[in-house]
Parts: sequence; C-alpha cells; structure tokens
Amino acid sequence: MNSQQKSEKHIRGGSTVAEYLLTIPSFVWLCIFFLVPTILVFAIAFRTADPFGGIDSGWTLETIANVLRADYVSVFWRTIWVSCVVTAICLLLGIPVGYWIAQQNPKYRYWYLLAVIIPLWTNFLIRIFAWRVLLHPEGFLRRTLLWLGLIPEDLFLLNNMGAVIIVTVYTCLPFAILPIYAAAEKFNFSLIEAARDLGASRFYAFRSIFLPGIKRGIITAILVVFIPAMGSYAIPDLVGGADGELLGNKIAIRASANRNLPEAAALAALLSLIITVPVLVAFLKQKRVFRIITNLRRSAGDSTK
Amino acid sequence: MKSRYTSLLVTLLVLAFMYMPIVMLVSQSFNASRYGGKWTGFSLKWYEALFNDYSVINAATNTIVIGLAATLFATIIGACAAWTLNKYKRSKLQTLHYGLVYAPLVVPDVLMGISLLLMFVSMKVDLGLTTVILAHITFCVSFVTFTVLARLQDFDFNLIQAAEDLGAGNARIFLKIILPLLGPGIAAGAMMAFTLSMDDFVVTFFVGGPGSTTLPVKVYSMMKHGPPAIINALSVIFMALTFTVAIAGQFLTRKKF
Amino acid sequence: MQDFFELKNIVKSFGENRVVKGANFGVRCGEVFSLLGPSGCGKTTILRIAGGFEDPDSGSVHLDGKDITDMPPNKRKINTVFQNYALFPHMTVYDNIAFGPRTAGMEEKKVAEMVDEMLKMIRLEAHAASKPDTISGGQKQRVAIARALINQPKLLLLDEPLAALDLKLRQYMLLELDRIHDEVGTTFIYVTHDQSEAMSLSDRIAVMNNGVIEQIGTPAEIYENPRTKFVASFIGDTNFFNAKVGELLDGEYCKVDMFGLGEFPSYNEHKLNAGAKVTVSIRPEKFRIFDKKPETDLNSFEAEVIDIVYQGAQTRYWVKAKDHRINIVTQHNRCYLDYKQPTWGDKVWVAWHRDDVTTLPEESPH
Repeated sequence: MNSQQKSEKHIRGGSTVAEYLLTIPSFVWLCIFFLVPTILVFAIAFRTADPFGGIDSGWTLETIANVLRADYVSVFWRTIWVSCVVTAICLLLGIPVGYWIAQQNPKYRYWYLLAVIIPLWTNFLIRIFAWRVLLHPEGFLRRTLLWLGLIPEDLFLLNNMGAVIIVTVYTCLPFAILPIYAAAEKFNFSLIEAARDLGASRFYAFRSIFLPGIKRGIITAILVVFIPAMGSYAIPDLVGGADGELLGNKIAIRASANRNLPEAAALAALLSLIITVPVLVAFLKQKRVFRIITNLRRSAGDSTK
Repeated sequence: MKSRYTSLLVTLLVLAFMYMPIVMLVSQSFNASRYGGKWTGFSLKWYEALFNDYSVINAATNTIVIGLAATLFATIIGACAAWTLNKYKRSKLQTLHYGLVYAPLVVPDVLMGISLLLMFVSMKVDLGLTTVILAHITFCVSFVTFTVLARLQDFDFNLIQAAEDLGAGNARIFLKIILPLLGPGIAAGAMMAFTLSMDDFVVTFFVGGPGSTTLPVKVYSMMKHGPPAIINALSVIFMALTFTVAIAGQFLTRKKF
Repeated sequence: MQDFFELKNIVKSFGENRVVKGANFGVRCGEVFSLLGPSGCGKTTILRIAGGFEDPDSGSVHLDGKDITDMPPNKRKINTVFQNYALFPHMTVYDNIAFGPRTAGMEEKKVAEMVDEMLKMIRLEAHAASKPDTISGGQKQRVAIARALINQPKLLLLDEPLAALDLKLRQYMLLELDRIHDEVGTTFIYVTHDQSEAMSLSDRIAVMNNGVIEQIGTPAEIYENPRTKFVASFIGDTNFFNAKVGELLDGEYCKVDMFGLGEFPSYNEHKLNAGAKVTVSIRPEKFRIFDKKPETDLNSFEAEVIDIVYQGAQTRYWVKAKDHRINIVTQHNRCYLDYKQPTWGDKVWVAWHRDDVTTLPEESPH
C-alpha cells in the first residue's frame, strides 16, 4: 500500500508538509521577533554599557548588582503594590458589572457590553490626556470638588500616586469586565435561587455560589489587569509626577534619555521574572493550559526514549 | 433585591467613570479658552491650527502607512497560524506553536518594546519606519490569530468534506466555501490589527526613530511640550478615526454568515 | 445476487485504538443496507472509508467491480449525507443543491432543470431561496439528501441522518426516506445506532460491536435468530439464562438444563453437543402466562409476579423464579377479555414454545 502518500491526504495526529508550510510564517516570525529578543534581554543583562549608548563586549554580574540597589528595589515594591491595588479595584468594580450585565435580557446584553467597551476605542494616550485635563488643578473635577467642599484647598489630583492608580484602573477596567462577564454569562443563575431556597442570604449566595462559579473569569481578569499594570509606562510618566515613577519608567529612561541598555535589559529581565509568577500560577490552575504543559512534557519524554 | 441594586449602582458608576473624561475632552476641544477649564465660547480655531501643522499631517500619514503594512502582513501570517492551530490541534508542533502565539499576549508592551530595541541595536539596524512596522506586525499577529481562531472554532469542517464529496477540488473549496465563510473573521482580525497598530504608543516609542513619528507619539510629545488645546482637537479627530475602524470591525464580527 | 459494493478485510486504527477489526460485507444493487451498532462501534469509520474520507490501514473497497480504495472522495460515484447535514450556511437551498452539478461544470440551464426536479422530489419548491438556518431540521435533512442525490451517485451514504430530529419528525422522515429510495432506486448505506430505524428501513442490517460485524441479515433474521449474545441484547429486549446442553433429542432439538428451573427441550440451532455451556435467550413477548400448569407440550415453570407495568398497548410483567427475574410482555387482545389478569404476588406458570428459544454457545462464533 502507498500508505505514506495516502496519509498526506487526511491527517490525524502526525505532522505533514501542509502543516509545516502553513505554520512556518507565524512560527519563524515570532521566533525571530519575539523569542530571540526575549532571550536577548536576559543575555544583555549580563553585559555593560559602552560610552556611546551601545553594548560593550564581555560578561559581568555588575549590571545585575546595580539594579538591585536600594532606590531600584523601592521602585520594584511600589510597582507591585500599585499593580495589586489596581487589580483589586478592577475586580471590585468589574464583578458587580459583569454580574449585572449577565442578568439582563440577552437581547440587550450586547449593547450594555458595548457601552463598556466603547471608551477603549479612544486612543490609549488620548484617554490619559483626557484624565490630565480632568484632574488638572484648574480642571473641572477639582474645581467641582472644591466648590462642593469635599476636598481641602491644598489637595492636588494630578502628578501623584492616586492619579496613577485612577488612570490605570480606567484603562484596565474594560479588560477585567470582559472575562468576568464571559464567565458570568455561562453561569447558571438558578444555582443562586437554589442556594436562596436552601436558606442562604443574597450576599452569602453571591459569595459562596456565584464567585466560585466564575473563578476562571476572575483568574483571567487578574492576569489581564495585573500584567499590563506591572509594565505600565505611559500612565506614570504622564500623570504620576516625581513620586509616581514605576518600573516601566525606569526601563524607558534607561533605554532613551539616560541611555544604559544593559541596565534597561536587567530591569526588564527582573520585570519578566516577576510577571512569570502569576502567569505560571494561572497556567497551573487552568486545566486547558495544564494539558498543554503535560503534552510538552510527554513529547520531551518521547524524544529521550 | 438589595444586591441587584448594588450591582446596578456599581454599573452606573462605572459607566459614568468611563465616559466622564471623554465627554470632557470633546467639549474642551470646542472651547475658545487656551487652557481649558473655564468655558469662553465655542470655537473651531484649535482645529484650524491643527490642520496647519505640517508635523501632525506627517504623523497621521506615518500612522496609516504603518497601520496598513502591519495589518497586511499580520493578517496573512495570523490567518495561516489560526488555520493550522485549529486544523492540526493534536500535533505536538501545534502545542508549541500555540504557546508561541499566546505568549506575546501576556507580555507587557514595555517588555516587547525594550526587547525589540535591544535586538535592533545589537544587529545595528537603524531605527525608523521599518523597525516600527516589524514590531507592529509582531504584536498584531497574536491578536489576529486568536480573532480568526475564534471564528474557526465555529467553522464546520464537515462542509469541506461535503464539498469534496460533491466533487469540488481544492481551489473550488477554497473560493466557494472557505473564503466566503472565513472572510468576515479574517476581516475582523485585520480591523483588530489596524486598530492596535494605530493605538500603540509604547512599542513605537521604543523602536521608533527619526521619520517614524506616529500620531500617538506626536500626542505624547505635544503633551510634554505643546499647547493642550491643540491636543484636544487632535484627540477628537483621532477618536473619530478609531471609532470608524472599530465600528466597522464590530459589524464584521457581529454579522452571521 | 452479485454484490454491487464490497468492503474486503477493512482494518483501521487511530493511534493505538483499533476501531475496525477486519470488516467484510457486500451490498446489493438497489438495497438499503444498514450498519447498526452502539456509538463507538466503528460504523461511522466504515462509512467514512466507503466515502473516501478515511483510508483503511489494510483491505480494499470495490464499487461495481472496480477497486476504488485509492480514489479520492471527489472522484467516487458515491455521495454522503452528513450527520449534521453540513449544508453550506452562506448559500441558499437552491445553491446548495446546485453545488454538485455546477462543480462538474454543467451549464446553468441544465443545472436549473435538475435542481427543480430535486426540489420537487423533496417537496421544498417554496424554500429554494431560503438560507439553511431559516428552515427546519427535517427540511435541512431533505436538502442534504437532494444535494447528494442530484449527482446521481451509484451509492448514497447516510450517517445517522435522523439523529438530530425529534421522535415525531424522525418517524415522518423515515417514511420520506423510504419514499425517496423507492423513487430514485439508488443503493443506500445507512448508519444508525437506533434499531427501530434500521429495522423499519433496511433490506439488510449489519450489526456491529467493538469494530467487528457480529451478524448480517434481514431485520427478521437478526431479531428471530441472533447469532451472538450482543446481537440478541442490542436488538430488542430479551431474557438471558445460563444453561447447559443436555440430552440430544431427535431432529434439531436438544434438552437444555436452565439451572434451577428445570430441563426443557429447545431448538438447537448451532448443533451443539451434550455438555456444552450455552446462554439461552428468550424474548419477553415469547412467554405466555397461565394461572395453572398448561396441559400442552409448551415448556413451563412456576413463578411469582413481582412487578407489573401497564404500557397501554401491552403490559410488562416481572416475575421471579428461583434466582431469575424474568421480563414478560403480553399484548392486550380482546380475545382474552375474560382472562383474569395476574396481579402482584400471584403464583403463575410461565410458558414458551421450544422453537422460540435461541441457544447461543458461550464462545461467540468469532
């Protein structure tokens, strides 16, 4: 039998020429422009800068030691702290919104969801700029709050950590609502009625039945808020002022104005390591991804046999 | 009923929070006052100033050129990737492939920007339009792939067998079945890519050079140095542009076969 | 009769899993041939091999005397009606049906003639311009059949065509399928897990289990003379008794020792020798219930009624005799109006005829 030629026609499991040909473009592209640069970041962290803003030859631990200095470490902690606060606020606001939309008539849900997404269509920088206008000392918000007597005269809304948190929440919130809504939409709301029927209070039913039911949505929401928040650069740069600098700013400054590429690489490498932690935890929590990892392990085992 | 009111209240607050800055911005762009705040009368002078600024026009051109180039390549690459990821699910190569396409989605822009910058510098490539386009293709590919993949998951592969069964060859199957059914999905992916490319500031900021200033980068430098009122006007025009693309994308994703 | 379509020694595995273990059968020209079995028994794989969508690991496929094992699906004069219809969602009913002839490069006037004829046959002239997602399941099914039949295939493969329909519609579509088959006379291979579909539609049925064809025969042959325990239990209801062949009687009978119940003369279909272990299968409707020992040559034993389920046209009894629970069905028949219905706890006599017994050897014939 010409079984080899025939297996070309219908594929089950094994790889074929057609598969390779169609996989090559994305695979090779992402290897060159994503995988290699990522590895390069870790490699260059062990180099030093040359006086012209380039990268010197020779390997060293000096750069790594440099970025573990006290002032950098405090920026690390601040970045993690701000990201956690932003994530918490996004969940706190996102879960009720997802819960509410999921309970609406299916005909209108799409439009409610769209209403949440539409602000995303505004350019990222313009959204930040809009907040600068709004939070400006002479801007609408501060003057209104002053007029209402809600804030003291000497409180400024812009160029501080509070502004960074507000604007980051603003840019991340729709991304938190989407996965929570997606999970809530699939949630069987009669389970809450069942819990109520068995004597649970509304809040208890929400906490013990609804929240565990949308766990996957919450995990995704945490990921899609926490990670960008950790790498946030433009927001602290534009609304954060001197006290609001985060890790992303340090990397950008080291990459442009105050050029020292190995130091920027070392900071970026540390940032990637920090981000790996929640990603790995989520990966292990989610079966689908877990299956991919076990598959990888199995194929590694196959090749050693 | 109490809890339902709580969630309704939060939803209303969130919507107010989401729209407040945008409404503010649009109204300010028509304000004659230079620094905003006090309303001193309706004016189009900031729009006029904008259209007389050569560098803004230039940045807009760059944005569109980069967007179109990135969209074209990312769509082709992403559509192929989605097809293989869906069709050859069980193969080990695709498990790896999936990871590789998925990873850029969980990496913050700053990391993607710095890593590409490091690579271009190490390879002594001059930063400019080309490097920006290469970078944009890279982050767009993953988004296009997952957009098309979502459509593919609804795609009934029996249709291909049915067409084959009725005597159709590969070319006819592609033209009559695959293209009409996947076209909207691929177009939605392309819209997504164009929107993302137009929206990107961070990666462009890192890998850009002289002559590759895009609108977001222009807005950034104006925010740092320029008069705020012109930015209002620029923002509104930019917003109108993004909305057009995004609405078109929405229609394509919503439309059933 | 000469076999028109033949599968010879088909073997097919997916990875470690051998789903078809040497299938052999022939289909006669013009008949409706069913592949019947539980899900996962390999029947769909056989159909896909016949259609050319799957290649057998070994074995061959013959149509009209020609070996078509290596022929791709679009070259075979075989068409398929897919399980979930696989109608092209972006084309109208008309365009779906016209797909085959247009692919063949036929001129549009001829295509229109053929499509109109098909639409008439499936009685959907009014829906020619509808999109598939606006018509009902039964209508989709008919479009799928028309789309396949318009190419005038020598063989039509139907993969669980009625599985997605509800019971009433399924019964109606069975009649429709029968009518269409009579009208076009094409040979049908029909895959199903539903015994009643297979029984009412087929000329012959192949019962499959675990990748093996257990029995091929007409519906009556398969019901009345199952060759294996699986066939006996899969088609209809039955009672199984472990038993041993006793003394051989003259003719084709033997005594069978049904442990605890007694020795009874039974039909010895497989010509088993004395001492062989067998499974005795007696269908529920073959039993009769008497209030005292019948004075005829019927086999009988005493039992106690433990449950009664009234089902309208019939009544189902569960009786207990020694360790056995036996399932009996009696039709309600006006002739028995004066007959006293047994009730819970009654001692009754359960009787059957020696010819209504199937003795199955412990080891299946395979």
